[in-house]
Amino acid sequence: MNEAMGFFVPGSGWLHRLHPHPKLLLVLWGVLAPFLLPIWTLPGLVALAILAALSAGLGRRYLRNLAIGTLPICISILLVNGFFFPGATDFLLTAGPFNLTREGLAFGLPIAGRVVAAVAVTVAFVMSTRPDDLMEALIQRGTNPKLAFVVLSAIQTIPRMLDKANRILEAQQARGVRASGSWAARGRAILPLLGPLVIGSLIDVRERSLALEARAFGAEGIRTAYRVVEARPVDNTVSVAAKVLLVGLIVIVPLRVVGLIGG
Amino acid sequence: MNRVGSLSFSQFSTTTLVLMAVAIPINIAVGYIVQNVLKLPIYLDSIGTVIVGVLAGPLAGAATGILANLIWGFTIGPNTIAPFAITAGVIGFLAGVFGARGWFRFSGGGRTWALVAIAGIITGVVAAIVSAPIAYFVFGGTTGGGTDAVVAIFRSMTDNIFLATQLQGFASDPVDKLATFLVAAAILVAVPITVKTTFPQGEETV
Repeated sequence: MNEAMGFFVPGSGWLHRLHPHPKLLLVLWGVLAPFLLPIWTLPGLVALAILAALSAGLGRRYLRNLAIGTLPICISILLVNGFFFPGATDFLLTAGPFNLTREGLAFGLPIAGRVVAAVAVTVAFVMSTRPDDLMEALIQRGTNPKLAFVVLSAIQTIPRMLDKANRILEAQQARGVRASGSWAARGRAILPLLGPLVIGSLIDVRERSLALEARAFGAEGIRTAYRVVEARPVDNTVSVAAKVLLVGLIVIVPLRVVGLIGG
Repeated sequence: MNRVGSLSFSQFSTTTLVLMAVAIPINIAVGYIVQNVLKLPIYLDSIGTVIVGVLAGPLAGAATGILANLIWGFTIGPNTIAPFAITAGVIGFLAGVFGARGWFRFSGGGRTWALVAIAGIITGVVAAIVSAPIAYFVFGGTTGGGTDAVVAIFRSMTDNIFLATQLQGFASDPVDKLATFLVAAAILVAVPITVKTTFPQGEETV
């Protein structure tokens, strides 16, 4: 994994070619839908997201990322609710002092399903979208370029900051700081490890700001883009479709509340 | 800086924006050191957010918290933290408010440490109140982390799942935010004054 790009994997499938803005709208729908639509739609939503990702050539890596992203939380949801559901009486399985209950599973399964559906969509999105293309596309639609700077600069600094943390760890251990032992011993290591990391970074901020200012970072006026993200006609069509879907989702909520659509 | 100024968008100066871009990876690296290297039962992963709030102001702190959770969730972290971006934003905002009121002013001596501790506990309680509905509605009260054991304990004590989730928050958030604020303050003491005062609200920490 190239950490500067997050989960992004280069490719040429239809998800990669889709303009980031309509894709973001679709993701928004895909994340909200599992929570707003009736429970019986969940298997369909999950299947749809996985089919979309696989048809776009995200392949086995997508399934692996999806499993890594959802298994811990789903196991936790099912275990905690299955075994610790207040007032449940229908025992399915007894393991020592713990009882797996039907009520607990009935509560936990839809929640796990919603999480899987939402994560399935976001993983497909982050794997098929370059962060800088996304921000460039958002700037074209009116996002503040300074916000884009913060997001992209932060993403690119993550691997360097982790490197720096490891170097400080090794240097301080060479000077006798212990990163193991009792809680108290490990607690005492907090300041020697975090201090140099944070203070050094804060001192760098001033130099980086001066360097940016010298390159007209704060200047007013129109900016040109280094990467240009073109919108094709099909992107605009998808954009309209995604907006229609989002409006549909919003319309469905009050209908469900008054009971016209059940589940 | 006056109180009205602490809510003005002028706090998004170039230095603040660069600070925000650095604070987000700091959160991630600190979270990595504390949980993976030191293996301590606290997170401390909002230290960068708290420092931005204190040095640059409430809005910059809130923006840092929100972006940090979204970026972390969608790049290398567990994506379950993304919904808690709202909590992170509140933490950064409160740190900014306490910073603007001079609670991090180190000429205060022992009084400052007491104020920082109180600020940390208040922030932790508010964070717990904001987090519980998110944890409940999105994840049914569990988050796949070490705190799930605490949730299980509270569930065996009460019949109300939401209450168990809320109690778990009250049990762990104030402790974590207290530690976060104290460590952030201890670090800020050691930052040169000339560096602190380059930020919009830095004067309030001197």
